[in-house]
Amino acid sequence: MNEPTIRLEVRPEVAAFVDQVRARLADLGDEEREELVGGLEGDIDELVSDGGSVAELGDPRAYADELRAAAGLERMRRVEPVVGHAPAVRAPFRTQLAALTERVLDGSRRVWDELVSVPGLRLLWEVAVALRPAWWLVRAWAAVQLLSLLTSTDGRIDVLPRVGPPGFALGVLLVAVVVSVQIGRGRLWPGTRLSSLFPRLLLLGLNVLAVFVLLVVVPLVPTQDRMSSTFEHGYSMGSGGDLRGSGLMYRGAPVENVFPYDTQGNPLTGVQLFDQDGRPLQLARHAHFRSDGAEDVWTVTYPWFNGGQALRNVVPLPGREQTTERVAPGAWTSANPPALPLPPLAVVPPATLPLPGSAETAATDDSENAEGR
Amino acid sequence: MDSTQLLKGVLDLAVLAVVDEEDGYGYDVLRRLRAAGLDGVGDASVYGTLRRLYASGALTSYVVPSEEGPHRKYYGVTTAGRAQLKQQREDWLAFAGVVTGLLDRPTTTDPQGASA
Repeated sequence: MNEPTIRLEVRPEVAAFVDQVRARLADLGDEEREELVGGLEGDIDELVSDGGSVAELGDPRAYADELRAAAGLERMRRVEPVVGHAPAVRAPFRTQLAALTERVLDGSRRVWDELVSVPGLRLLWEVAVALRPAWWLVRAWAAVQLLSLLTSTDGRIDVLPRVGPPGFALGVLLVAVVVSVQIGRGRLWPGTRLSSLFPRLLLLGLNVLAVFVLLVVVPLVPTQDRMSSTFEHGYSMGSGGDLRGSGLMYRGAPVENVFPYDTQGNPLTGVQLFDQDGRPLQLARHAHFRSDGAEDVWTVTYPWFNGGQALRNVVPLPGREQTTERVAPGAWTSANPPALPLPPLAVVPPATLPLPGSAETAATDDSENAEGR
Repeated sequence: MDSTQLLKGVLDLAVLAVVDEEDGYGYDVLRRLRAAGLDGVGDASVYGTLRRLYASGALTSYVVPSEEGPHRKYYGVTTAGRAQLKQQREDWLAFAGVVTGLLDRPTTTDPQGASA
């Protein structure tokens, strides 16, 4: 029996109809399907020769369903309302909408099933199906991350969702995993009622939401690399200190201290820094760690004060060595009060402005003129 | 009563009877059923029934090349099919006899009078 020869001899509309019938029977085994469809081209072709038409056979899917039922083969999937058997009375709009939604879902499902029954994709799909439990775990994690995102104040994300204390978060995660797996196994609503439209839509929506949460959350989760750099950063800033970006930065790194010099090149103390909008240029709290074996030594900067208000925009900031990284409240009255650090350079070259009218340049000009006379 | 409802129960029997007269291919069997008066029978129902009877061993099939069109898949009745036909024919005749007898019985009581 030569398949291509048969095809050539059949009218194209007949071949198209039979192809649609065949597609509707995609869930059957190849042999079983060909047993059912084989010879159908010839039969329908002869019907057309006899004065019939393909159109009078109706919807190919309904035709396929009738063929399947008469052949005594069970549908592998959910029984669907046969298209073309619509009730004579117009159903209410909501019912129609529900039916339409259901048809769209079923249609997508069918297209998908046909797609993944292509030999090359079938293996991939089978692997994906086998990996379903992994998705149940991941979406449970996503659900708890969503909870943590909604309840957290700083929007930070960790691998273990931050919901209450770590032990509690672990418990919540465990409960979420059990719920997700039971839904996935069809033991828990809405997983148990997937023949109804609402649970089906709900589950679809939840899964889509989980994918979205993953798209948002995963890039925010600190990697090993970023985690350690965040850690070091937090360490160098003092663990109770502000995080990156909260203080004056220079080339991507926080500035520990600032040493101003006057135009003569002499160091200044107690200079207040403001930006172009009058905002104080704060220096981040800083603790510098060094261990001398016996005990930890931290060099910690302390703020200036205006009454009771700490000012971190007055430079240079005083500092002291201590055994903790925190700013100690009683530091100024202790035996070891913070002191102004020595500037890194004793003097620097003087600086001038080339513009006339400036006091410095004007004075220099005058003296030059006087000498010239 | 819709004859398609009645037909569902005896389509196997009708198809077996037609094929037993003479081997036939799908459309041929359909045409002969319709010619015999079963014009409400669906195309796909007949073809599906043929496939099922073939799968159950009541029919055998062979392909006959055709000069003007596609090959034709002919069906013929097997020994098992003949036994099935014989059994179902007897069942049908007995059943039809009972129903006919029931319908032909003269009315003895008036339902209206009985309930009053």
